[in-house]
Amino acid sequence: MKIKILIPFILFFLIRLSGFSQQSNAVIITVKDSSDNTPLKDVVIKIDARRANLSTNNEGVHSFFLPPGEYGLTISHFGYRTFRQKLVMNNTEVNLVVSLINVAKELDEVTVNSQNINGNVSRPLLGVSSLSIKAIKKIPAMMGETDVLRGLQMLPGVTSVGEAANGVNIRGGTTDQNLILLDDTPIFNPTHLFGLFSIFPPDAVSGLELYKGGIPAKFGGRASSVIDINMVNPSLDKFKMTGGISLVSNRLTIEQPIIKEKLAIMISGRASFNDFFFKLGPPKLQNIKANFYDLATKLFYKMNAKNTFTFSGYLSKDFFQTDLLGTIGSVNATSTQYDYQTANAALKWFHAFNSKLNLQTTAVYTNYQPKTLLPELNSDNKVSLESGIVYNQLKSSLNYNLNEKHRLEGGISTILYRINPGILNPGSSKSVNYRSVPEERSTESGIYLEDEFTVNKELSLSVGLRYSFYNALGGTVRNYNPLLSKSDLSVTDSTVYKSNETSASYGGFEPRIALKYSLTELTSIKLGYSLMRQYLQVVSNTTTPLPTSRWATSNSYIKPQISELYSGGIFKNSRNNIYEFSLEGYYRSTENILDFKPGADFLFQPYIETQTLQGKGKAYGVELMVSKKKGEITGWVNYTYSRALNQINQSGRFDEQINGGNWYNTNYDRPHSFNATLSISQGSHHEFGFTFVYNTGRPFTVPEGFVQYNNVKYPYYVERNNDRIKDYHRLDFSWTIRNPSMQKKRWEGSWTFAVYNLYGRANAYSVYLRSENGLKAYQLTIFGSPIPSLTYNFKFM
Amino acid sequence: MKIKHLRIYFFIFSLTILFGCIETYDIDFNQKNNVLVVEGFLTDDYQNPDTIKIQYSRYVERSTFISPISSAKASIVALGTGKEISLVEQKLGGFLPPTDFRINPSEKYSLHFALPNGEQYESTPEQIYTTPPILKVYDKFNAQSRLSDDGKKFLPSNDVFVDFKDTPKQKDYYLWRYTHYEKIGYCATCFNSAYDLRTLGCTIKLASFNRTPYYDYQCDGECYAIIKGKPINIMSDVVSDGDLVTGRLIAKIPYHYLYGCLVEIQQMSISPQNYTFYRNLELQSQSTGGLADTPAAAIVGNINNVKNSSDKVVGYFGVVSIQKKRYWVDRKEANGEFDYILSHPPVDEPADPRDTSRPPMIKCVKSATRTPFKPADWQ
Repeated sequence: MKIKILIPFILFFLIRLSGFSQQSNAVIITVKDSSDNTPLKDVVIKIDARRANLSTNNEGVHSFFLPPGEYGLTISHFGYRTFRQKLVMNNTEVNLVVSLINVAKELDEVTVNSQNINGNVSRPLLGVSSLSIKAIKKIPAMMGETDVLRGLQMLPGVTSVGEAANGVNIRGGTTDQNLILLDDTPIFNPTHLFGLFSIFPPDAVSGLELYKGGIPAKFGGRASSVIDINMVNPSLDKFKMTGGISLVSNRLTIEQPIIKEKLAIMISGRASFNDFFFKLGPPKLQNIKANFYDLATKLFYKMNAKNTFTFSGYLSKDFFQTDLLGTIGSVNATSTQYDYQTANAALKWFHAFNSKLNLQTTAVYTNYQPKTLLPELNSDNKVSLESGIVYNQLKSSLNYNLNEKHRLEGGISTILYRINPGILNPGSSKSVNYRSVPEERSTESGIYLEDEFTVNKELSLSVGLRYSFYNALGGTVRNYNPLLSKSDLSVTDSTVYKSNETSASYGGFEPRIALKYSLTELTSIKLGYSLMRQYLQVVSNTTTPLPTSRWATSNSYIKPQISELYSGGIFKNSRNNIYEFSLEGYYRSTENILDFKPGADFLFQPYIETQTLQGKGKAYGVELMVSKKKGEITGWVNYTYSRALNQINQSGRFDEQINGGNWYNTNYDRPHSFNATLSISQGSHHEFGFTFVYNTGRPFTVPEGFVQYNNVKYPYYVERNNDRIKDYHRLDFSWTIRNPSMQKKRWEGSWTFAVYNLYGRANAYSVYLRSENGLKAYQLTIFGSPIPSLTYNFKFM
Repeated sequence: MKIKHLRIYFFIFSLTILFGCIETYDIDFNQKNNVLVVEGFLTDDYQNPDTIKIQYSRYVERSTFISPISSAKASIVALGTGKEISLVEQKLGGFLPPTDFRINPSEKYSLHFALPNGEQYESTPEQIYTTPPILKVYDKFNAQSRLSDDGKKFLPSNDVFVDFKDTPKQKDYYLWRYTHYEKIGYCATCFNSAYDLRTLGCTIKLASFNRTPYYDYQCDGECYAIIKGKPINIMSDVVSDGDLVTGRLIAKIPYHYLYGCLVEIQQMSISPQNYTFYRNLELQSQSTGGLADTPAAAIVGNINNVKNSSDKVVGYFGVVSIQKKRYWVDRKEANGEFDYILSHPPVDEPADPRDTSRPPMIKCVKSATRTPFKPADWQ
């Protein structure tokens, strides 16, 4: 023991003898626990990496001598965050008191779990994940754009069909089976630039909740999942400003109290200026224009202790122009312009009757308008093809915490859909006619009641029941000869309905049940069942829906999709809530999934039943997740085995079957998926992030061979999705340097250097066939090389 | 809507140029059986009727082969009268209607045929639709008309357009075909070899070449290439019912030579089902495998095996009225680099003073792709 105490002195004596001619001075370091100021003993102190290790005594103190100069000081102790600081020695003594942060007592760095501490174990919630914007920002960003949807894809059970997919697939569901809500308003197109970036401005988002299993009864209208994204609440007491400049866009967010502690506003804007990409490219790309912007705002008014009002607004616009494309029909166009925009608004009134009972009433408006513009040759005229969906919703919910055992929530909701399937506006064109498909109108209403019931310490239940009912209004309903495929030629007669007359109606109960049984304080098992009905779907027969894809509600022939999900899991936390483990399994069956006849054409087609097919879907899987929520190293690792298959056998006829009526792999069936996200915090100034992604390649269709028809070789397809593209894997890296000046100022800047696809894996975006010099298959890779980016972020508060 | 399926592709293609790459991909095609293919329309062009071809298509080692089926029996059946008109088998394969056959516009016709193996097939009935005449044909030189196969540069073409008046108050679907005639100076190319007049082939092996690994041999007399337009060109009048349709692009004639060439354009009104078949064919041929693609599906038309519904036949039997026009492309405005018809600049075999028979001139033999006879309206 004495020898141990003597070692540092001997070492420093030797150091002094080894040639330091300058006078050394004393360094006295006292180390304490930050939460209660208890001295910490046996704390390891390092002076530069190559110097000897030192440790504190029972009083948490250690002293030694250092000659003048600059040193790297590292203080570490098991269970505490490591402290790092530059130590500058002049000709004076240094007395340093360091408070180490107890990891078990700090707030979660990474939140990928149910809402509260230990909530993933203690509450009857299944398949629910919360992802804070802090966690999403730690994930290395592609081209410097923090992306909510890419963050979501790091969670188990969430995949996409490819790098530029317009949405995500959750537990074997299609992209339109996810209800994406941004502050209660639905999002119909979640990406900018055809799937490259998500539309959610990162500085305006506080976090998201993903419901992929037990979906609360308050949500309805989609068969697979709910992605509930919340915008930042503006600060009521002080001005804040954040922003950033990246390769792709510039961002600015302001939070401004208008009446202190009463009224405040948040405004967040993001705009891209990435046309220069194409200017740098070959001449043929120089006429391409590709830009987007989004603007989000939130106004919060605290009228009194019992009443608050919140207004959320969101506006997004994309513009893409190219002259490399064809045209529509007989329009003689010089280029093609895509212009699509979303305008959302929600007004929420919260009223607390007392501490146990409150009422929330929300009015929602969404207007999504994709447009295709065709500038005509030798003219200033633009022919436009416009479509859109207008969504109006009024909903109200009552929350009642009856006692410690019962938390009740009930509510009602009604939605009016107005869908414009397509209007062709010729402008001044002489060779194009005005054309429109009648507006489709429908209502969807729901009423629900849910009780989170704690039976005893071990057992708790969440029992919800929703009843939804749907009416299609007006329009013309055709009758078809049942012996023939539905087409214009098989119409027998038709009925015309007045605009407010119900032409088709559907409805039914949607039970949502979850059960939690605690095996120990830190371990529980859960079982769940939920049924969802979906009346609105995207009508697109492409692998991923396009921003201009048409949406359609159920009618006399398009039946609502009905999905039943059975799930179960085991959940375990470590004693100090640093680690979380979960293992979940699920089986989903879906009725009336939508598919399409070969060569289906929806352009100006008022009777889409002539182009569609309906069938069954099934999906099942197992998800394993481990996350470390606190400490210097945080992150999560997950593995998912899942399958997603469809069966289309509408009739015995060849043109109303897919793959002869047998089960086949969906486009998003990717059996093995592994994701790892790691964040290493090195003091308050440096942070390193790594993500690794592995997925089985998505299915695609390989022809059996080729046939020659009219002197042209065509691929001859027999079965859909009979092969897979190569497996996908990628490693990303980021390094964030916060506040490089290391001085405490109101303005704090940070730099993030990131590399997407660090080892340059040439992942396949698509595989296609060409008949040059014999028939060959080619693989197209979008991001086949490492993509570095540099982002500057700042905050002012 | 063709445009939909290309838009992402081009955007992604743009990104690929910046960050991505294209590599070959190994796929083992598994086609074991012959596929029955039926080509040709029953038309009102009685001077030059379409040959209705019933043949097998085979795919072996990255190549497709066509095997005409001889001794098949084929006929046209008129649905209203029940009259069966036997088709006449041709020596070079295929069937033609009898020379005195005329289409009754109010009648529906179906194709029936039986193969030597006893299998019997029939099409769904089709009726002729009146085709409006082509009002005007014109062309415009476009220096950046087409992308090269490797996607690295633009190629020049004379783009040929038509104007026509759509028939009002009815749904119309159009199909265009064209044949392009080009006067050619070279009739054979031998790679790593020289032409042998005795064998009429490139059978003289050569070890060394001056500049290129090939020689081109001039034609002995006039010779014209017959080039059938390959891209599927269809249109629905969904946006232009009853309008004067102007500037419909029909052909992109490559800048092969300084002098002009001839294009024959055929305009046809087709049935909605026939349009759907061609649309499906067009989608399959343009597939990029990308996320904006429509699902791949068998290119099966309206011809079915009478007894076996799982027997798939490629092709569509249609009854069509043809409006045609011949148009001279003078290439007076054409400029820039040639898009060589041989795919390379011609290189003659060097003359040998010791053997005046070399280099040989090659006879222009009439075939489906070549003729020594000057086409009508050639200028």
